[in-house]
Amino acid sequence: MKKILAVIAILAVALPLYSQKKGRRAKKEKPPEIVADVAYINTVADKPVATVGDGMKLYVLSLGIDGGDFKANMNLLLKAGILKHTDYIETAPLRRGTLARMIARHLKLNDSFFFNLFGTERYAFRACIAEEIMDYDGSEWDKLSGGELLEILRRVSEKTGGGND
Amino acid sequence: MKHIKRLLFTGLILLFTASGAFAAISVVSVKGKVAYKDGGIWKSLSKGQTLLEGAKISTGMNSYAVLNIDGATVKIRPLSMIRVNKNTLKGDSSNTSLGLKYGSVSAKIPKLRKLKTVFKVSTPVATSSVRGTEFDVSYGPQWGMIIYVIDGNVYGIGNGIENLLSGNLQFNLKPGSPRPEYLLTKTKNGYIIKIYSDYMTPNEKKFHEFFGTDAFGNSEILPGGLNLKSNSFIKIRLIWPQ
Repeated sequence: MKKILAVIAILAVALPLYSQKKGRRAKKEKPPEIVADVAYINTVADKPVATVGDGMKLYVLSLGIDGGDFKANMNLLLKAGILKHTDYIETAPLRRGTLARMIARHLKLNDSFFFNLFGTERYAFRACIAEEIMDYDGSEWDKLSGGELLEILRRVSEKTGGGND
Repeated sequence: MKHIKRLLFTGLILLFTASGAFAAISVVSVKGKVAYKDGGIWKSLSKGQTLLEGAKISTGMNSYAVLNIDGATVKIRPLSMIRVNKNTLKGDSSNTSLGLKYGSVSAKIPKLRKLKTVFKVSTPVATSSVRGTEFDVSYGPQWGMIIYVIDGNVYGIGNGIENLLSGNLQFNLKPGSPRPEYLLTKTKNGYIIKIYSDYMTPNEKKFHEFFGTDAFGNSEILPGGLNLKSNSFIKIRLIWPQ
């Protein structure tokens, strides 16, 4: 009887510990950039104003590429046809229009006649409103907060099927 | 001897009861970059891992994690951050409360006869309360909290106003807004595509279909639209889907 009770007691204590240890063992196999990317996203989420550098880095990550520095990210986006030029300043606040034009070029939002015609940030913003990626409340000149940037990129990710099985 | 046995038996019962009070949160699957916060440090999350009350989980781009919380399946969608605020399992009742800081989660809560389930998802603007249902919740500073019910009933509670939601109804409360938007908005947008006045010619309708509101600038009145004065009546013809 004593032996049986002792075995049960050992199992009861050991099983939860084993389960946690199993998790820890599996964690070691994962590369450190996973944690770095998630930590960076959470830093951006708390920013009252996101920068152009944040927007570009996150956009590169959304393409499934581990980006580099600001210039490397900008060149990557230029090659992908998402940026029209590279006249951007890394620390400048990210405006709704800048992000809207990147999204409109990436998703090829051709339904907006005026965006097709002029390709300006103003009409890119309106094309993003029509696609329910951005909210109608505001203008293309608005500075985006980190939370807003993530919310918009999440909607883009949903459109492109990111995060599906 | 009998005394020792009794003590041991009571100890074991207490041990099992205590482990039951901390309900099980297990990681069913992980795709992409997902991490959890442990002691102020982000660590990568893996399939098969168990989490405790107070855990913070965050997903990266194109990534997700599926958790099993006392039989409920919770999918944390890309670019989301949640905190398990409460998770207890006592006797025949389970109580779970998730805090969604930003992002989106889908939850499927099974109807279990033997288990009374309280499942809440809270955001900075509102709370959803569920029993035996399937629903999506998202939160962001721009669009606010959106609850979309797939199956069953969900309560959307914001600013003291409680809304009972069922299939196809959407609760949307934006930050700073005193009340949620009209609950049928999603249904309306899904079925009534365009509304034209009788004064628009077929050519004008075609023009509007092709160019959208771009062609009319910021004007609220479309060509051929009515300039209504107060106490006016308008006739609306609704074509309801079959």
